[in-house]
Amino acid sequence: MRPVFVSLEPPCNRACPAGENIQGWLSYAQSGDHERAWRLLTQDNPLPACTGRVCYHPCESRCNRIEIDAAVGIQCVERFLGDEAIRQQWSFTPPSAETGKRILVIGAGPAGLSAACHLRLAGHAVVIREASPKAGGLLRYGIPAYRLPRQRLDAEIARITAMGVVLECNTRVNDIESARRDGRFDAVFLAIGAGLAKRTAIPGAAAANVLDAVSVLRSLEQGEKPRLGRRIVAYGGGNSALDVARSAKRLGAGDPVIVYRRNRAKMPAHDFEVEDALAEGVRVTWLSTITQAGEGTITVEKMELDRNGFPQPTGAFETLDADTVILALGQDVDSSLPRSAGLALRNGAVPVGQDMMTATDGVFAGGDMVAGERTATVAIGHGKKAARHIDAWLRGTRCEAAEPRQPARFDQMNSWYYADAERSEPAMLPMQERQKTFGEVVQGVSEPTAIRESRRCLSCGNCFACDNCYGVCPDNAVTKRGIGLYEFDYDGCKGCGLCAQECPSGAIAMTSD
Amino acid sequence: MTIPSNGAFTIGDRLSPPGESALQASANRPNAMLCAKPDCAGCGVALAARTVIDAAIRVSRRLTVVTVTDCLKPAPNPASRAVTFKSATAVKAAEGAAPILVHTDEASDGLEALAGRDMLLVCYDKTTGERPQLFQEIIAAPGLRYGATATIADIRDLESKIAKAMALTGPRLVVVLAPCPLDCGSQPQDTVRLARLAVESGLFPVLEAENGRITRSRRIRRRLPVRDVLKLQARFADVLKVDGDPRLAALQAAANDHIRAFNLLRRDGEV
Repeated sequence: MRPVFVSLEPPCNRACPAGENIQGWLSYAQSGDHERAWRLLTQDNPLPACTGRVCYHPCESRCNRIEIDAAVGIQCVERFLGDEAIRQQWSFTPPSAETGKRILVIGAGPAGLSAACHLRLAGHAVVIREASPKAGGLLRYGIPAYRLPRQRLDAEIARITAMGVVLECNTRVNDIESARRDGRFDAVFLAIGAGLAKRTAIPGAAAANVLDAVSVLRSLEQGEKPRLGRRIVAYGGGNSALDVARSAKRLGAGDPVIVYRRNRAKMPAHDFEVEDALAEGVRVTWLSTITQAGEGTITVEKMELDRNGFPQPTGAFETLDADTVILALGQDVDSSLPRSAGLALRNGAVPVGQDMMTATDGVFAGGDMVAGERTATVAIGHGKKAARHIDAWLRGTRCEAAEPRQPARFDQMNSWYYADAERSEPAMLPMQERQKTFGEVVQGVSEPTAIRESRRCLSCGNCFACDNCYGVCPDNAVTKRGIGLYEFDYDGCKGCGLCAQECPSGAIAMTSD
Repeated sequence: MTIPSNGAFTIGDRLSPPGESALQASANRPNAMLCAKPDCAGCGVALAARTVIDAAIRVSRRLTVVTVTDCLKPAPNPASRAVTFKSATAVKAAEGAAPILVHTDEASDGLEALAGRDMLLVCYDKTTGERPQLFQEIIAAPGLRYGATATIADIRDLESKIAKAMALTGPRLVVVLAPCPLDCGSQPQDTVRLARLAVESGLFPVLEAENGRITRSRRIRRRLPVRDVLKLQARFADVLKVDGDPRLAALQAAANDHIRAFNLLRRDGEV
């Protein structure tokens, strides 16, 4: 047997929908090299001040450090880097040469912004057309300011347009083919999201005040006053229901109640969002459906979950005071725009191939309008992926995915060597203020905390220059050429395997000769 | 706020100044004694000896090293010029030559020679610490200027104890736990792990003493039962075969005694 150095894929990288090299940028952050960390991060995700606030961090859910104490606070470090970049005014380097190709991006949400950024960096001319008054998509019109302050969003959008991306707001595209032709665009990226609120027929709704969460959140953002009464019921169990209830509470609109047909375990909203909402005093009526609405009340029927987890009516009814019902039942893709390019929806989404291209040549799509988990980070990942494929397609080639690496598993590591260091949690805005203002609820962390948190990273499956192999070899068969540069002397090596056993990160494998 | 490095217990650390890493982490370490036998893979004594001798000659470049063991082929690295290597019989003859370090895996011979002499004796314990006589010598030996136990599982600690001993005069003793895969009946890749488990079970306490009084002990981080140390060693197979073997109970009792006597489970920061 002989030892070889390996480089395995850490679970955080594997889990990130934007394909970030999380372990890589954490490594720079550990030594306070924040700009380098940010540049590596933004090679994949241009919006870290946003995702550092609104991402559901699947990276942390899969972090191997959970087996020791708790996940590394990857999100708080990402947010720190995003905020630091804004503070220091770090910018993206515009391309040094133009390809002469022009791309139309329809929709300035996270998918569109991400695609535009990557395409511009590749030297293409990019025009984004956005129907709303401002860019951001649901980052602005869906997620309330207490989760994502607008100046952060504005700063990250401005950094992209500063590279020469043309952003045309208040510009709705109605026909893809004519827009493409008239603008002499070589390719189109569709990223209009799923903007239509799902509705359900509730008897008596005509007399009652029934709104939908999508419109309510948009109105609030645009400074309009939606017709919110004093007894608000939000109907649904997703993040929109929580967002609209928490926003209503901040506006002093009485005591919002969420009505949801299943139980907490089945709620699609992310767990920590539910925690935050409950902590703010939002009440939830579980296992209930609305069967009737009236002027000042609604009738709900209690449900129970069957063996398969589906809600079944029990025949027990209750009346709740409600002068406003806000439907938060999910969102549909507006099919009229895709149809203009000959594209039909399948299961409510625009079908795309592995290369993010639709059935129409040169028309690509991503974000909430294609199949997949509907989060900002997934959309950012789609934008990057589409940009790479668009770039290849324009050059007449294909973009091949990199060879996948073996995953780094905790049982291949030696956890003894890592420092005992508890996870830091960011501070929160005091509860009083949370219930009265739209000030940011989750605070950022200080630089020492960000460095400390990044140093909790185990560097799974990759050498971090700890010198254990070099120090532990009884036969002096490891040569150190420099920091993290080790060579095995296979003449002196006896294959004892101590180096592999004592490597904390599992970066050495014993192979048969 | 202290910001611990990510590899806090590793031999080296790119995030801290070089002085805080072990000497064994340095690309310029002396490698004064490279001595494992050709057929022995995973030799704990060879690792210990290189660490000990390198640390010693950092303190004193004129050093006489006497090697008393068949385990090591004392093949001095020609690069380390000022170090003289002699055989056991030369110990007495070397008296008066500045400074002397004798290292051996035959403890009893070494201890005899140590009494009253100005010499640093390093004894390698090739087991997992279940013969307690050696470290009890450290506590009880009269006139011992400095005594310490250390293991190959904590290279930085071993180096600092050698450096400390080298800066003192009079009879000094350091016992180093350096398991031997042949003697223990263990896998070669488990050598360092065995030393670590011996410490974490309480079987082998890591101590320092000066002038007959214990001054320091290293606390246990992640305690485990003695059985976990024994099950990696074929020589204990029959002890573990039957539940409630009195030999296992005796070893666990010894470990418990050490933990109690030296307060090894105190929390971080407690004295």
